[in-house]
Amino acid sequence: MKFLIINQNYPLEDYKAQETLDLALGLSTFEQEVSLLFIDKAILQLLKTQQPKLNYRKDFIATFKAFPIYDIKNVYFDEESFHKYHLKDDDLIITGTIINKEQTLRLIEKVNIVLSV
Amino acid sequence: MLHLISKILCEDILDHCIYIIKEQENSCLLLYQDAVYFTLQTSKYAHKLQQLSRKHKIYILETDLAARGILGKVLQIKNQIENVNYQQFVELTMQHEKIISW
Repeated sequence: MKFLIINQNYPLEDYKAQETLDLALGLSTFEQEVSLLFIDKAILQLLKTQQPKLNYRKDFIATFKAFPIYDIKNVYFDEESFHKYHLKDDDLIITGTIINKEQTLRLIEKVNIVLSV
Repeated sequence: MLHLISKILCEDILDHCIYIIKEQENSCLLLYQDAVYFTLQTSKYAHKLQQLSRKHKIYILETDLAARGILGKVLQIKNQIENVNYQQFVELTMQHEKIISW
């Protein structure tokens, strides 16, 4: 089954970002094909220099680096959001593909299940 | 009067807050938790915050900046927009008669 997980939350606001990450890893463990799309403020989840421990949270951000081990290769960033925060590939903890709205639509058509968080 | 913003409940929350702060001479603003994202130099509020800071001090909780990995990417103007630690946060709450949390 092909899954697309659309991330839309700040990293530390609540537990959504952390649980969505756990979900992606869990799905992959059960051999589902997982793609992730980060929209708007969710891109901030991937900033390299974060230290969740300072907010008494587990450093789940480091777990994004485990994607290759879990065979998660399809990571996408919404174009507008990427440019809104003036980010460079270097700022983020993992690499991904920047896609525009049209490509997003095509991506949604390609998968079986879309989970928007 | 001390205004505190911690969450970004709606995009316009800072607009409302700034509008009110401008009307009060001795008011200042403290941003913590996710509201610290407002102070990113690339944020659409950067200009408004800079203007506000000319007459009203703006404080940002440093721990929350570091937790979110954006230290060094936010507005800083000496004596206008400054980082504070928890101790200074508490001192601010003692200095002001009224505290409004948005």
